[in-house]
Amino acid sequence: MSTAQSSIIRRPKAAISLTSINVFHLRNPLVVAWWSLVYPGFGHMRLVSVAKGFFLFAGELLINTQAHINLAILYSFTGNFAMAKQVLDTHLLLLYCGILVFAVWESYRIAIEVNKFSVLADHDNDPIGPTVISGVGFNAFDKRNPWLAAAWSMLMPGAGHLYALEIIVAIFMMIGGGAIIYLSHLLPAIGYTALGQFAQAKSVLDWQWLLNIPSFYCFSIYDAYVKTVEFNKLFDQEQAQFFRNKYQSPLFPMPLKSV
Amino acid sequence: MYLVASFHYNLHTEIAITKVEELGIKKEQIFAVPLEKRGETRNIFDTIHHADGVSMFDGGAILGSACMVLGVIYGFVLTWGPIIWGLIGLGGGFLVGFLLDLSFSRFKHSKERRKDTDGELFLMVNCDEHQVEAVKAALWDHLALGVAVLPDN
Repeated sequence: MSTAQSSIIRRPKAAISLTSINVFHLRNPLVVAWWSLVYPGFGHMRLVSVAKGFFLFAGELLINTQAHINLAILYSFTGNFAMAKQVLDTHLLLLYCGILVFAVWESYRIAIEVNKFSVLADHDNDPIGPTVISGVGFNAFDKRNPWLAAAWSMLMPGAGHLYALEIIVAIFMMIGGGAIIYLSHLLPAIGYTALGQFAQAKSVLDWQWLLNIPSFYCFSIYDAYVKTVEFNKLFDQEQAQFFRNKYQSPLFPMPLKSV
Repeated sequence: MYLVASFHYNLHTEIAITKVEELGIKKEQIFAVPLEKRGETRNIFDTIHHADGVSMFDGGAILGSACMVLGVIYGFVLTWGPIIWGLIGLGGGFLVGFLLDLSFSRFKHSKERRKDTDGELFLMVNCDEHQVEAVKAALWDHLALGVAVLPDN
C-alpha cells in the first residue's frame, strides 16, 4: 500500500500525449489576462485549459456576431456614433460583458494557480516521461526553433502549433482561422490591396468578421513561439534530470585524486 | 585517460553517450555534470509576475496585437485600407513593444541576463589509452562543443 502511494507523482511537471504536451511553467498572469481581453478563450488556451478556452471562444464569437459588436467598435473608433448605436443588436449584447469579464478574471486566477503548481513541481523534481508512441503516431520532447514556429504561424495560423506538436490547438487554429479568413473575404481584399485598388479592397471586406483577425493572427504567432520556448526548456530540464540520475555514479574514478 | 567534453542539451548528446557506451565503456566510467542556468532561480515573488525568459516577446505581442486592431479599424477611413494599416500597426506595435521590453529588462536585469550559455553540460569519460581516439571521434560526431584529453596523473 505504502509503495503504491509513493509511486504517485503528486506534483507532476508535465504530461505528454499523442496530441499535445502540457507543462506547468511560470507565466505572467497579466499577459494571460491580456489575451483573454483581446479574445475571451485565448487566455485559457495559453494555460492549456483547452476545453474551457474553446468554449469561451465559441461563446464570444456567437455573441459578437449576433450583436455586431465588432461593427459597433469600428464605427465608435471612427467617430460615427449614430451608426454604432444603430448597428447593435441588443438581444445578446449584455451577455458579452459577462463572458469578457469572466474570461479575464478566471484566466488571471488560473495563471496564478498554475504558477504555484509550477514552483511545487520544480521543487519535487519528479521524473518526466519524455516520449509516447502508439500505433498511430508519436510525440517526444525535442529542441525546436521558436522563430521558425512563429514564421510558420505567420504564414498560416496553426502551422506553428503543428510544428510544436500541439495538434489539438493546431486543428482549432486552422479550422477556426480558415473560417474567419473565408467569411471576412480577407484574401480577395489582399489581392486588391496588392494591386493598389484600395477602394475595392474596402468594399469587398466583411468588417464584422475582419475585426476578429488581428487578435487571432497575433495570438497564433505568440502562442506557437512561447510554447516552443517552453518545450525546449522542458527538454533541457528532463535531460539534465536523466543525466544526474544515470551518469553520476559514486564509482566513477575521479582524476587527480592522489594530489 | 580522461576525456572532458562540453555539450548543449540535445538529443545528440544522449546519442553520443550511447555511442561511447557501445565502445565498451561502462556507465560508471561516464560522469555527466548538467549545469544549472542562471536566471532560473525559483523565487516565487520575483517570478510569479514576470514571465521567465519569454518576456522579450510579450511586449511586442501585446502592443503588436493592439496596434494591429487599431490599424485595421482606421484603415476603414484611411486611403490605404485595413490591410496595409493593419500590417503597419502590427509591425510598428511589435517593434515599439519589443524595444520597450528590451530597454526595461536591460535596466532591470543587466547583471542576471546572459546570452545562451555555450556549454550547458559537461561530460567526463574515463577510458583506456587505446580507446581515446574512438571516444573522441564519437563525441565530436555528436556535436560536442569542445573536447579535451587528460592523461592519468
